[in-house]
Amino acid sequence: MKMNAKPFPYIRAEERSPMLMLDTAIALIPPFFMACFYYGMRSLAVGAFTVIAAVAANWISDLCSGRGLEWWDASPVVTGMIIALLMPASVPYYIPIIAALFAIFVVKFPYGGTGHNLFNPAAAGLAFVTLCFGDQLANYPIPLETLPMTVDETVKLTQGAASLLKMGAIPTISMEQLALGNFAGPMGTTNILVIAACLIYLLIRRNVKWYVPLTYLATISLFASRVHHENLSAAESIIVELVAGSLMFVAVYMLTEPVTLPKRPMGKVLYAMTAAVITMLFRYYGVVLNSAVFALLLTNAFTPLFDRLVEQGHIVERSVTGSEDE
Amino acid sequence: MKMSKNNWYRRFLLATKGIFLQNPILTLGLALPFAVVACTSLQTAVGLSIGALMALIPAALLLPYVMKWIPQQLQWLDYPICALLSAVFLMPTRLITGSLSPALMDSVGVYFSLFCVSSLLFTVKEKCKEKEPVRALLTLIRMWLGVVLVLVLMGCIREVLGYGTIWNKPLTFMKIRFSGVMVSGLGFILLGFLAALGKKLHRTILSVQFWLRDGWPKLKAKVAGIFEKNEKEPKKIMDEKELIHEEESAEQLVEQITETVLGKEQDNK
Repeated sequence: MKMNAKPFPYIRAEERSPMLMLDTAIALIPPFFMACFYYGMRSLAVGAFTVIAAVAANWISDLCSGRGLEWWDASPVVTGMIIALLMPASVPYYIPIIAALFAIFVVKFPYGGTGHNLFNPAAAGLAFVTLCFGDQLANYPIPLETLPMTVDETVKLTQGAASLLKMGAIPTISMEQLALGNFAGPMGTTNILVIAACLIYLLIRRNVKWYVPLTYLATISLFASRVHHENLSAAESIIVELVAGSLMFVAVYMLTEPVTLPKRPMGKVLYAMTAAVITMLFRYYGVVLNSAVFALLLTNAFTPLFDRLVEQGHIVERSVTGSEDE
Repeated sequence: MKMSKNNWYRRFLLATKGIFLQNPILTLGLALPFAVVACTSLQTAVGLSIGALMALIPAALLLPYVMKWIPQQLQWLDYPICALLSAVFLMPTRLITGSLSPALMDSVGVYFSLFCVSSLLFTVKEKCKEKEPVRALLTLIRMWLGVVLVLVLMGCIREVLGYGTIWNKPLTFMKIRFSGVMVSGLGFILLGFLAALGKKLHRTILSVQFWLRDGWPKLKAKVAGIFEKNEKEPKKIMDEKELIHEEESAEQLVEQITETVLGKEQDNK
């Protein structure tokens, strides 16, 4: 008998983690182009600095942990790109760099590096800078006004649609502007059509399970249709809630991160529903910006619970069906 | 990795048990709210340290004597009595410290009084229950110093990062302020990193010690072996014949080179 002397895993799936991360990185390029179109080359510079900081931090972590340099690992690139796209284009360069360093050194590296993180590193990095530099992240530049590379006081900044909603006001944005992403907000999250196209790409590449973002967005829509502003109809409330903040972006790129997702489909659905409910509660009753990111972090802590719940459910189901068969 | 009994590091750890070894906050996880929520500056750390001193030491020392007056059936009342004793010493301390430095008391807030019902007090009480007064006092002082060490470290780091000051004096090199470190969630992360740093330091000292004990003699022996080998095998002294042969071969080589060089020069001309 021939023994298999190779180390596990013996059965390998077609999707490998470097390819998954590479696909996500490819899907993050179009929002960067749109940000470049709306705000100029500064948005690309912010992205480049953040990605370089994240990759450098990851390499240093790899070397410190004694694993050796994993240069093919694209996960820090994805982390850097996500952090940059959730920032205003006028953000000082050091803020996304600090977010990237926090994400890698504090959230990813101590848990064991790529594939072992308990919390989404990009979400944690963003939460940290939101707590530290919230004032500088609350105002956004006006789209189609090209920003200089060094932003000073002459650059006009306005409040984002999500901030207005939080204060109880209704953002005056036409449907056309909403569709085109031509309104103030984080540089990568306003282009809904582009994000939807990227979602289709990720679905085709089997990088994302369709029911995760769908459950998340459906639960938010249900919430928004039930609890909404007096002057808004249910349909308008749903559109404004979905488009105004960073919900769509979080649903497509962050919620579907394979490391922090539960293992079974039912667990994933429960996870998405919980994230949606916490997001809406933070939106209505919270005080911080980026409520979707904070909600995602809180939901990450429940992932093992969902796994256990679904596993126990399966055990009960199997025992019941087994007894019926007998 | 086991340490020998005469190891200086082992003796140091045992002598400072409660400060570095079995630190009440970092290792035992006691009094976490004080370190994580309340301790946001050096001033707060000092205030909390005074509170811990007055809440822990007199109450834990006097409790056995007070319990002698309590009937056997009511011995289960030791916990509330300990809390009461602690409060008796805390109240005047709060008033005196408040009159001396109102800012210090304001920064500590309600947490100063909370020491009299903290898990730290009851753990300390249990540790000193059946010890002689002097030994109990030493244990209490060590544990208090362990608490002070962590509180001061946490306070310093959070004040420097969050406010860019130390004891309310601005630090010019701190251009960026991380006000988020004042949030208790990030306080937990900071405490976790401190605990990890302590463990890393401990392991580094251990590994250096073991290298000095095992690795260094091996390395020394290896180096000594190399030198001995060189001494045993002295350089070969050439015979006369060999020398003549080498000289001839060298002359031939020089002739060949000169011929080729001259040939090239003639070709060029």
